[in-house]
Amino acid sequence: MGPERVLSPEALEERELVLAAQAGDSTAFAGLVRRHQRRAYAVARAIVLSHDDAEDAVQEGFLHAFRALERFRPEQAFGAWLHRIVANAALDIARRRKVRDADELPETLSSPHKDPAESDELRARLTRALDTLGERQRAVIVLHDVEGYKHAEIGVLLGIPEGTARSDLHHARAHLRRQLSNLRSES
Amino acid sequence: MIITRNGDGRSSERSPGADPQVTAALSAHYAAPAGDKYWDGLEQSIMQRLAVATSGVVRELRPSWWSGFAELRGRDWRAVASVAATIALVVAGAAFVRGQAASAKARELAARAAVETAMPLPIDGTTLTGGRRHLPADAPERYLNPLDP
Repeated sequence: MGPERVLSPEALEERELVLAAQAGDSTAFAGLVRRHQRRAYAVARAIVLSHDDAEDAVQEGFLHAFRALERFRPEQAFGAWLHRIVANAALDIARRRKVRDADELPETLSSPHKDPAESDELRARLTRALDTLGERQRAVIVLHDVEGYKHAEIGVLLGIPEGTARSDLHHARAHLRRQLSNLRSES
Repeated sequence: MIITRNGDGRSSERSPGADPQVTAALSAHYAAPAGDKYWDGLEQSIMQRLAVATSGVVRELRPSWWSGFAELRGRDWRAVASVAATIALVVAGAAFVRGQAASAKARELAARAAVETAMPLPIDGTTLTGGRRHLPADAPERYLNPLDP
């Protein structure tokens, strides 16, 4: 008999919520939504381009999670399971958006920002640089540098090998550094 | 794989190799909405969508009799309309025939009643002449042929 895994009070509480939700208690599921929606939003926002799409992805993700709840094993980490579902929903939305917007010019390219303040200029440059970055590289750098995920975790979320996440991060950083270095040398 | 994070889910470590200025700009760019009001609203939206989705499942499991109409499309509707028109035609025809038969029977009964009340059958010759004492003897013939002198 192996050693039992000691769960924190938060983990125990979450496990109870999961079990209650699996038994059909919608209030318990609302508790899980309250607990995980911010993190789910952060994951979705790293993958899609806009706030609205991130919100859609979060809603879709929770809906899918609810439908698949009976297949979830309570000894798993609910957050990791949920974030994977939300990431998939966000990837779907990004794919659909890409097809829909294929002929449209990105707003940031059609209307360059002209604010003289450096911080605003940096923000505008960053937006443009992010637009020219591949969507997977953009997601990787945001998940890693902003959200604090590790390469392997990003690989699981985006469905890519850990090595790919690592090289995407390297290229994304180099790209952004190049795009923003001109601004620093000018100022 | 288990992803562990601190309170708000973020790792407290700074990513090695990351440009702090770029990371700060990225954080500002991708910042989640602040304020509990937004998150309360999002939670409500999620639970509402869930309720709608759940009630949809119940509807699918227990379809009402009229839900069949919702599934009818194009040619199906035309087939249903033609069957309904045929049934309506048959019912109307049956009602017309029944009405005609009733009317004919009523007319027959009325005619029979009229004949019976206007021309009571004589029992014998005495009765006939006895009832016409105030009339001349040839009265019936004159009534039948009033132009005769």
